[in-house]
Formats: sequence, structure tokens, C-alpha cells
Amino acid sequence: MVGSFLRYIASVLVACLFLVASAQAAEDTLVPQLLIKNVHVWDGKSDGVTRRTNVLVEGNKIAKLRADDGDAHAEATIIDGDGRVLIPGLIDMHTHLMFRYGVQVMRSEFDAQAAGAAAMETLQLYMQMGYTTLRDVGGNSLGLARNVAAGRLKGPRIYSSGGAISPVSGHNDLAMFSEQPGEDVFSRRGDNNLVSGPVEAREATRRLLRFGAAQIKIMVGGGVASDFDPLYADTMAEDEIRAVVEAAADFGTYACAHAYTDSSINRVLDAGGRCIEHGFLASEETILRMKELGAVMSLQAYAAVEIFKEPEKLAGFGAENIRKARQVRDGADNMLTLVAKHGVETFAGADLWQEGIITKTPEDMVVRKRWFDDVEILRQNTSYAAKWLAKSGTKNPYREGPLGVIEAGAYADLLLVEGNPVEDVSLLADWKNSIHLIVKDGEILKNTL
Amino acid sequence: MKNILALINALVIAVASITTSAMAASGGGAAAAAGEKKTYHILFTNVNIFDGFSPELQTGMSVLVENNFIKEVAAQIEAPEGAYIIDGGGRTMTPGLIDMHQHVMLNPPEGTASYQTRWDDAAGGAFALHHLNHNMLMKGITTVRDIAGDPLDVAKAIDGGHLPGPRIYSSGGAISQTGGHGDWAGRNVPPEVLSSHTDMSQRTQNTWVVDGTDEVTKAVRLNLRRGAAFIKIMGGGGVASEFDPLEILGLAADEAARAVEIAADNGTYVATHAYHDASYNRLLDLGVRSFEHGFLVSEDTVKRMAKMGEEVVWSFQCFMSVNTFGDYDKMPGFFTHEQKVKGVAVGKGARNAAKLMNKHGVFIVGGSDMFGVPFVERIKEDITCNVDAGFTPAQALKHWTGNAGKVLKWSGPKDPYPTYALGTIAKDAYADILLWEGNPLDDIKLILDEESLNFVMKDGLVYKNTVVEEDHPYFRPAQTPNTRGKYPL
Repeated sequence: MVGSFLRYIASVLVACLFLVASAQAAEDTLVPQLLIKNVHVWDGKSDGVTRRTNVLVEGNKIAKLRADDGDAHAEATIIDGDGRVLIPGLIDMHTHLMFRYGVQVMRSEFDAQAAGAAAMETLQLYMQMGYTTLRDVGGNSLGLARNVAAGRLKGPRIYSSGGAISPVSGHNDLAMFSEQPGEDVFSRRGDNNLVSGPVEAREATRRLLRFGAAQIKIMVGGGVASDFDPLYADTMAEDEIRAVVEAAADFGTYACAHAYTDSSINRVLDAGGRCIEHGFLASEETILRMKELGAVMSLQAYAAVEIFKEPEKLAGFGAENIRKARQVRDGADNMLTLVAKHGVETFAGADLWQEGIITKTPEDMVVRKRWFDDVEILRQNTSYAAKWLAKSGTKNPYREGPLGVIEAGAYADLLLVEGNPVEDVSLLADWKNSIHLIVKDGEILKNTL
Repeated sequence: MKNILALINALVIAVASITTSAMAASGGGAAAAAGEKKTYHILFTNVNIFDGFSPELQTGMSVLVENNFIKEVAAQIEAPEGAYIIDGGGRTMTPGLIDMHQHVMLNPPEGTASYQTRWDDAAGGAFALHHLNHNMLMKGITTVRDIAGDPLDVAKAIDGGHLPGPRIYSSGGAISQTGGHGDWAGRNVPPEVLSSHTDMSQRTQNTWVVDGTDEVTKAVRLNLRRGAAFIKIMGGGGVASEFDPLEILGLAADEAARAVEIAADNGTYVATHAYHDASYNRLLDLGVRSFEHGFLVSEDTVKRMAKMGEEVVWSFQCFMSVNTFGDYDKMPGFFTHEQKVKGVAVGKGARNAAKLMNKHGVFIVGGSDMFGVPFVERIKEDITCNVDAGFTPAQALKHWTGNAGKVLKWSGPKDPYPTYALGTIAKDAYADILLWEGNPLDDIKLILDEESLNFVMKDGLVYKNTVVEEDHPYFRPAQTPNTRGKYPL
């Protein structure tokens, strides 16, 4: 009896010492804390916001929801959200960081170094608009992505595809008429990977993954105003697509494909690809097939329906371009209606990376109101996007926790917004005024409270 | 989705022209007839001017800026109609600072070694832009002379108003021999890669590894073709260099002479990296005009330079030698014992050289040679170091303004900013203007205090301003059309 009592005392004493010791240790190296109080949380998934609550960030992760004052240590930064709404940092799944001033100007006026400098500006702008993660689907931003991940450069997280894989005369064949395909400025600096045949396609995929690509991008179909690729062409053969898809899968990641038409999209699906960018001319049958196979449609609503709203008014557009633009506009409306109706998986990337139009990026969310509820739109730019970013698997630069959600263990990428964007995403289009707090990786980058 | 591009190009032209005319319309400049360019005026009153040269401040002065240049400096100036008047409140006005020895493309963490790894040139540009703004322009350094590296397209984007940043005078890639101070390729790079100039540092044109006068000719001409304002040669070795010890002479005499000849044919000059008497004297013989480092030169060489007046200039890298190499124990950890001993000699030599150059009145400019974190964050300590090395605050500032402005004009037809003067507050100088709370001539340490730097103007546009509250249209910083607001985030 005495023995067990003594053992009990001993264990209590040991426990006390341990507490003292760990308190001491904690004092020596305090994990930085950020306590955001009095906020309604939209977690990236749910239909609405929570009651007023507090969120605790420790280091670069969300530590606890429904935190209280006692969870914060003496040196925590306390922010009073005063009843505002806290949402995950936004994710744009379709950008081209290295082409800010357009192909012609980037080719003749910007070497790779200046292109990197311009991309640095672009990154800051996206961040100001509340985009804490970007997926670059074509262009050599691999060095930028690596250095952001290493904390040496400040900017949104970048999931880079490196230079898109394109066949000769495909959508990323950026050589001029006077140049040989593959020997042009862009190919030399890795903004394009020209392939002919499945062997080269596989080699290019492996090379990109070696240099740090998070996912692979392929150009399967054509474009509206492009020099070489007509709208209805299928520019990559199935065996080429399959070689990329399989090489990417073997490495633990995935490939996404630029494709507009039924035949391009189905060719990608036949080859095992499950991620389609644009898809503006897809028919219902193809969309149902995508649903059945668990494929995702990456949405560029503003680009399709706004820019091509009145193509007859666009400078430099001949009759053929106008005809194609109208088809794309009308097709996109149809596709988006069907995708919404049949519940196809989606995420969004505005594709508005060019000078003069970058700041329209958040309006891409507003345009989608025609087909989706506000909360679904937000999911397309947060948790749905993050679900696919996680499919980068071994090539995911940010594997310590989920992105695009507010939950314990997730990366602390947060926006504090004036008003409730879950009820009306158009609030986010006025980002200068409506976003008061921007936190990325646990670091406060904007605070106008 | 590149099919968007053509139409976006059209949209951008439309959007840009609407935006520019809107900005112009909201400005307060003189009313312009249709088609006439608007003129903007900013009148500073009540400022004490350090003009870049004189150790005496001109007190209680006014300065009239028209668009991007200084139109008038006088005790009283009548404000033109519509001028925006800034009461300087007795602050000290100085020209924007000029760092005459920078390497903005060497800011990635591994420095020159980063160019041994593929895929980093874009990141190099991103690093450059970050530091050009955070650690140079926003801290009052409105011009840099980049003296090995290729920021030429970055400079072009800045000058075109696409990106924010200081003015850049670039030498393009330095002209170096195989195994010379500009040879940044790894040890085991195959000889044919070096000689075909296809290692990463040379492919990005950040350096040239050349042998023989023909190759020198080619490299110099390639630099000038891309817009280099002057030429840099590696006339000697370095303290910690992998291939080139401190004692060597870099480039053969005929190679150096060829660089000078071609630069001169193009109306510009050559700057050299060199440390000691042999290299300095050979290159003075050959007509090189800008001499960097020079920490082991003797008094005779200094006297020779002094006799040449403002024909030649000594560019003084104070912090990196006097401070960094001050102490055996302060040397970088990766230095070997021999390198540390060499470093100490250089540190001692630097203090000695500074004393001699000062004593004999050699024409001097500053030039930090501070790149890469943490040095790039402390660039202005090179200026205060000048005072530790025996110069007065006025001399230190002159090294970083008036004298620098004079040397920049040696670029002649290759001067990217030919219209007005730099480094001075005077009629017909560019409006690169700083306002300080307090007088740096009294205490040079003031220039390290970012809160005392109240105002940074470059090319007539304002980048930092804690003097006036108003959000006047002129006071939006030069920016890409999309980023309206403060730089950085």
C-alpha cells in the first residue's frame, strides 16, 4: 500500500518535473503562433460558415479550430477578425507565369532572366488578389517554383508543369515561320518541349519530372487565334499521349491535357488521361464519359465567354477567327451547363495571366455564377483544386498537409474577407478592399484591419 | 491557352491607352491641347541640398522638377501653374545613391555556382528583381552599375516602365580568360563546353570565358550589341576563387588592349577587376579607366593614378574588404587557412589603399560589390564604411553620387540615360531625388536608417513617400499597369 502510494507520489513528481522541463523547453523555442479570433470559418468544403470561432496557427500550419485564448502563448500574434469570414487562400489552376507580355514580346524583348523578373511581379500581384497557390500549366517556372518552396523567393506556392509538351504544329509550337520547330527561343529556354513520337514524349516527361515538374501538361487539341494549330485538329497521337500519361503515373503524378473537342478529349481519356483543360466544345456524351471515368474538367469560364463575348469587335480577328471564337463561346456555355448538371468533377484556373488582364482573375469566379452556386465556385478554387494538386504525389512540393482547406494540419494559407464570399463570390473581385488579411504559410502578408 | 493572345494584345492596347489618358487627365499639370504631351511639375521648397559634390549644404532652397528632370534649383522659385508643392520642412535633399559595383544576377543563394545548375536563369531574374527593389531602390539606391552579369533585358523592362526598379548600367558578361575570375563553370566541365561558351553561365551571357583577341572581340561586341554601357575585364584573380589566385595577371596584354580598343571605337570605356601593382600598371598603360578593388597597390601606383585626374577612377569596395576581411576570425567558415591569411592581407591592404587614395586625391567612386543575402540587405553600410576608412561623410556621399554620375557619362553613345545628368541636384539632372530627416553629413549613419529616408523619387516618379499625406496622381509609383499600389505587397 505504502509502496504503491510512494510509486504514485514518485510518478506525480516525475510528471511535475516533466511539465517544468517541457515548459522550460517551450519557453526556449516558442513555435510562432497566430490566433485569429472572432471569425466565421468557411473550411473549403462545407455549405456555409461556422459560428464565430477562433483559429490557431502554429508555424506554417493550422493547429486548431475552435481555439481559445488559453491555446495561445505569450508571444502569439493575436488578430481580431471582428466577425469577418475566414476562407482558405485561393488557388488558380491554370496560369502561364513566364509569358506575361505575350508570346511576341517575351520572344523578342525578354530573355529568361527578364522573364523571371516579370514573373516575380506577377506572383506578387496574384498574392495581392488572394491567390496563395498557382498551377502553372506551361512555361519554365521550375526554378521559381523550387525557390518559392525553399522559402528563398516570396510568392504563392507554384505547381509548375515546366514547358508544356507539344507536337510540331501543336498548341505550344511557338517557333516562328522562319525558325525550325524545337530550335526556337522558347524551346531553348525550356518554355516548350517539342516531341515527335512516344519515345520523345516519354523522354520529355522524365526530363521535366527530373527538373521538378509537379505535373505534366500536354497539348492535344488546337486553338482559336493560334498560328499553327487549327481548332479542330487532334495534334497528338494516342500513343504519344499514353506515353506521357504512363510515365507521369509511374512517377507518382498525373498529366493534364489542353483539349477542346470530343475527339481530342476522348483520345486523352482512351490514353488514360483524366484531367482536361478547357474542353469548350465537349458534347454531352463526352461529358458523361468523363463523369463515369472520374475525370476532371478544368474550367476557364471568363476566358471563354467574356473575352469571346463579341469576337467581331476584336482587333486582328478575321472571319475565320470570329467564327471559331463564337463556337468556343457558345460551346463553353453548353459545356459548363452540362458539367454542372451531371456533377462532373471540376476545378478552376482563370487563364488570365497576360498583361492588362491579370487583375480580371477573380472575376472568373463571378462569371461562373451562371452555372454554379457561389459556394461551389469557391470550392473549385480551393478544396477541389487542392484535391488534384495532391495527385502530384511524389512530385508534390507541399506534402506536409492539405491545401485549400481550413482544418487542423492544413497549411496556413488564409484570407479574411469583408462580407461573406460564400454567399457572394463577387466580393472577392474587389480584392483591394475586401481582403483584409492574407496569410501564406503562416506568415501575414497583408493586414489592413 | 495561347489562342487568347492575339485578341488580348488588342485588348491591352485599348486598355492601356484608356488608362494612360485617364491618369494624365487626373494630373494637375498645365492644360494641354489635344495631341500635346502633358507637363507635370513638382516644386520642393524648404530643402537643404547636398548637390553630390560640395561638402557645404545649400540651405533653404527650392527645386523644381519637370516631368523627369530638375528644371531649376534656386533660393526662390515661382511655382508654375498646376505645380504640386512639397514643403521639404528643412529636410536634407540628396541625389539618389549610385552603387557603382553591383552584380544583381548573382543574388541566388549559391551566387555564381547557381549558374552551374540548369533551369535557374528565370529564378535568377526573380531574385534580381526582388533585391533591385527591396534592397536598392526602396533604400535610396536609384542607379546601379552592374559590373559582371547580364541584367540587360531586366534593365530594358524597367526602363520601359514594365517593371519597377533602379536605373541599370550594365557591362554585360565580364570578359575573362579560361580559369580567370569570370570562369564560373564547375571544375570538371569538359573543355569543349567552356570553349564553345555553352556552360550555363556563358549561355545566359552572364560571363564570357574567352582566350585570344578574336574571342575577346566577339564577346565585347556581343555585349555592346545587347546594350552594355561599358565593358568589364577580369584583370586579375581573387581571394577565394577556385581557379585564379590573387597574384595572377588576368588576360594577356593584347587581349586587354583589344577590349579597350573596341570599347573606345564604340565610344565607351573599360573597367577592370584587379588588386595589385602589376595589373594596375599594365592596364593603366593600356587605357583602362575604371579600377575596382586595388587593395594591394603601392603608393607609386596611387600617385600615378592621382596624376591622371579624372581620366581614371578608383572604385572602392569598402565593406567587403575592410569589414568582411577585417579579421581572421570573421572570414567565411569555408575559407581555408591560406585563404584566410590572404583575406587578412586584403583587408589590411584595403585600409591602406583607401588612406593613400585619399591622401593623393585620386578620383574615387563607391561600389559595394554586395550581392546575395545577407550582404545585399546591407549595401549602404559600404557608404558608412568609407567614413571608417578615413573619408569624411561628404566624401563618402560624393563617391556614391556626384563622382559616380560623372563616370557613368563615360559611356558616351552607350549611355542608356543620355539626356540628363545623374548623381547631382542641379539644373538638367534627372529627377532622382532623396529626402532625409536629418543631415547625413553630420552623421553618416543616418543613411542606414530607413525611417529617416522619407522620400525616394526616381525619374520623377515617387517610390517611397512619408512626407506628404495626399494621394496625388503624380505620387503613384512607376509600375506595371496592373499593379496599382505599393511595391512590395
